[in-house]
Amino acid sequence: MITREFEKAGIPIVQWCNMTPVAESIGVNRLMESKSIKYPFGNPDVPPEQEKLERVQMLKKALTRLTQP
Amino acid sequence: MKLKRLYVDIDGVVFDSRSFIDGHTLHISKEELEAVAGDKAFSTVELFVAAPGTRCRILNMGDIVQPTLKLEDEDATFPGVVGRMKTAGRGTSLMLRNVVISETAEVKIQLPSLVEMTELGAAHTDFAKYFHIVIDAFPAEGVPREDYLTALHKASKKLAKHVAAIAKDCAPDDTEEFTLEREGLDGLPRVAYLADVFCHAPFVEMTLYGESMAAAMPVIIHPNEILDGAVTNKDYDNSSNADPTYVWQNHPIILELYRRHGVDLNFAGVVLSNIHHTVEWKQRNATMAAAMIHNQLRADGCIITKEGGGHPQVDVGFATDVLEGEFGVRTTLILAEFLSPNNDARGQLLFKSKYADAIVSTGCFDMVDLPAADTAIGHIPTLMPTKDGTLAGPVTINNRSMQGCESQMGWTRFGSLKF
Amino acid sequence: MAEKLRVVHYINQFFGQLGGEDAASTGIRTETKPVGPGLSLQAALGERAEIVATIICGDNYIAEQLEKVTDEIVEIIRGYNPDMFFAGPAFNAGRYGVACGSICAAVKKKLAIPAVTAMYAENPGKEIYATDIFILKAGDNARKMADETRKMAQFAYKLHDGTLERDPEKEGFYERGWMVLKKHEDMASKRAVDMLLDKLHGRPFKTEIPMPTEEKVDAPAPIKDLSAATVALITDGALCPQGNPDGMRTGNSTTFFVYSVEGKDTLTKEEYTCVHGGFDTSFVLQDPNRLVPLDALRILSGEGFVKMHEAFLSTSGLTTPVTSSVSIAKGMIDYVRSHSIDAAILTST
Repeated sequence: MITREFEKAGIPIVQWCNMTPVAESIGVNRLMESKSIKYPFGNPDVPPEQEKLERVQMLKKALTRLTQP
Repeated sequence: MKLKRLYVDIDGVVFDSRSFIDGHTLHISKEELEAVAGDKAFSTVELFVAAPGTRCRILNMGDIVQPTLKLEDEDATFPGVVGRMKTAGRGTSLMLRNVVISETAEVKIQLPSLVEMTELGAAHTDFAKYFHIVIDAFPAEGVPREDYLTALHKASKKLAKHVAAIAKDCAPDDTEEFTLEREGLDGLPRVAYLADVFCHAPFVEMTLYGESMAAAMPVIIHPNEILDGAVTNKDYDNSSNADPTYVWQNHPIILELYRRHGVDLNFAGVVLSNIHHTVEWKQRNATMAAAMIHNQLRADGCIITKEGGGHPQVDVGFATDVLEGEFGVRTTLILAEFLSPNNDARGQLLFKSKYADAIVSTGCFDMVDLPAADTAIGHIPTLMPTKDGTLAGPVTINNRSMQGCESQMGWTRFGSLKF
Repeated sequence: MAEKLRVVHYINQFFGQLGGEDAASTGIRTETKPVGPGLSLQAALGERAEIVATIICGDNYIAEQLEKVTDEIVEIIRGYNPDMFFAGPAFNAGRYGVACGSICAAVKKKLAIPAVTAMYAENPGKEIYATDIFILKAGDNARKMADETRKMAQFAYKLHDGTLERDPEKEGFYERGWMVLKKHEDMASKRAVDMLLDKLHGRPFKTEIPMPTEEKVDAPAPIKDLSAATVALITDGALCPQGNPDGMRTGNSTTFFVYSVEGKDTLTKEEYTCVHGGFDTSFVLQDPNRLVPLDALRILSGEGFVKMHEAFLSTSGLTTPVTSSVSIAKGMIDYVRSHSIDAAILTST
C-alpha cells in the first residue's frame, strides 16, 4: 500500500520484500525479492564481515533499480 | 474402501461410580477416565463436564475430538497418534454424537480460543451445543512445553477411544456408509477437494497418521481416511486459525461431496497440501497439488480451503492459477475474512488471481459481548481482559476467538455481506 | 410538541456567498442561521429540525491544514449541541468534498450524531471517506441543489430514527466498502459446492468476496543520476529504538515514526529493536541492518554512489487497515517531499 501511494505520487521507490506475490497483487512496479522474510537484507549463513559486503551488493542492486524504468 | 459409521446419540453426561450408557445418558467414572488421560508429563489431570445451555466457559481450548472406536481393530483407532499404523477409512467405526472430548491447555497460548456454552455461544458455533468432557491437565514440574502439549494432544484421542468403547453394547441410533464405488456416475462433473493445511511451527500444525506435514509435499488421500481419524489437529498457538479434529472427523466439504456423489457430481478425491513460508515452497506445493488434481484425480472442478492466517492465501492463489490457467480445472475457494481489522472490503485478499472469481466467505470480524459465566473451566485468562478480572467475568471478544465460529474448512453458516 | 432537532451545516466559501477561488483562503466563519444551500436544506427538513448554525470555511484554508482545521470546526459544532450534521453537497469540487468528508468523519467519531454529506462519484472525497461515513450519491452540478438537499434531509432522518436499510442501491449512498457479518441458511461448505457446480455448468453465480480491481499505476520516472539523488530508507517491519519510546504498535498502525541516523554508521542491536508481531524477528534483533540496511547505505553514500537522508521512516505493516496504510503513506510522502528526498527503498517483510 505504501509503495502504491508513493508511485501514485510519482516518487521512485523500490520495494524489497519476500512475499512478492502479495506486492504483485497490489501492482507494485519496482519490486525486488529478498531471500527470506526473516532477514530481508541479510545472510546469517556467512560470517558478519561477508554478510555486510553482501548487503552492500544487495542495496546497490536495489538502488540501481531506481534508475531503470 | 468402504467405511461404516455407527452413531450412538447422547443427551446427557453425568459422573458416576462406573462408566455406562443408560438410554441416552452417558455415565462416566471420573477416576477411570482420569487414569486413561493421565501421563507422566502431567502433575494432575482432572475432568470436567460442560453442558450445552449452561453458563459455562471453556478457556484456552486445545483440540476437540469426537469419541470414536474402530470396532474390528480397536488398536488402530487414531493410527499413528495413539493407535498403531493402519489405513483408516474402512470397516466399522462406533461414534458418539453430541458429546466431545475437549482439551483446555494450562500453558499460555499465542492466539487462544474459547467455547461459551450459552445460547449466545451456540449462535456462534455448534461446539456450544455438545456436551464437553474437558481434560484439564497441569504440566508436571520441569516438563517442557512441547512434552506437555504432545501429551495433551494424545490424551484427548485416548479418551475419545475409551469413551466410545462405553457404547459398545448399545444399539446404534443411526448409521452412515461412505464409499466412492457406485453406479450412475457417468457424465457427472468430477469434483475434487484441495485442503491446504498449515504446519508452520511445532504446535501450529496438523498430523497425518501422526506426523506433521511441515516438510511435506502434497499427498492424495481417500476421503474416508480423513473421516476416520487419519488427520488430527495439533494447532495450539493459533487455535482458531485451524479446525479441531472434530471438524476433520465431520469434514463439511467431504460430507457435502459424499451427499451429492452420484446425484449431481462425482466426488473425485482429496489432496492435502502444506502451506510453507517461502515463495519457492508455496509454488512447488501448489503446482504439484494442481497436477495431482488434474492428472490423478482427473477433476473438472476443485474446492480449495486453507488454514492459518494471511500469507496462506498466496498458496490458494497459486493453486487456483495453475488449476484454472494450466489445467482448465474450475475452482471455488473458501476464505475467512480477517485481514482487515475494520472489515474494509479492500483489505481482505492478499493475492490477485483473475481466476479467483468464485469465493465463499466464512465471515468477517465482529466483537461479541459475553456476559459473565457461572463457571470457567481452565485457568488461563482470555487475551482480552474480563471486566472484573475473573476468569468467568464479562468480556468483549473477537468472534474469531470463539472456536468453530468462522471455520476455514467451511463448518459454519457465517459469511459476509458487502455494503 | 417535541423540541426541534438541532442541525449544523457546513459549506465552503463559494456556497457561503463569500466569493470563488479568490476567497478560498477565508478562515472559519459561523452564522446562526441557514446560508445559501442551507435554505434549501431547511425547507427539506421541514418543521422537525432547525438549522441553528452554518459554518463557512475557505476550501484552501481547510485543505492546507486538514486535520487541524477539522478539529477546530468539530469543536465549534459541538458548541451548538446538534442532533444532526450536514456538509455540502460538494458535487464535483475536490477540496470541498475532502473537507466535507473529513469533517463528517470527525463529527461521527467525536459527537456520535448522524453526519451526512453528498458528492459526485468522482470526487476524491468519496474515495477517501466512503468507508468512514455515509456519502450520498449526487450529480456534478448545483442545478439540482433542491433534489440533493431533499435526499440528504430524508437520509439523515432515517439515520436518526434508525430506519436506514443497509442497501446502497435502495438508500442512495455509495457502497461503504465494508464487509458485515451475515449468517446464511446454508453452511459455507454447501455454498461452495453449489457455487462450483454453477461455475462448471456455466450458470450465473455471485462470488461472496469480490477480487478487488486496482487500476495500474505507472512507474515513477527513473532517477537519472544516482550520485546526485538523496535516498531514504523506509520499513514496515517496525524497527525502532530499544524501549520503543514512541510506543510503535506491533500491528494495526495509524502512524509512522522518523528515526535520525546522523553520525551513525550502523544500527546496533543494543540501540534498536523490532516490534512487528507477524514474523520471526530473531535475525533482525541480532542485526537491525538486516531490516534497515543503514550500514550498507552509509558505505555507498561514502563512495559517492548515492546520497543518503539522515533518518529512516518506520511503521508496522501488520494487519494495518487500508485507510490507515493510505494515510500513513501520505504522511511519509509529505515528509519525503519536504525533506528534499528523491527516492526511497522500502523494506517489507
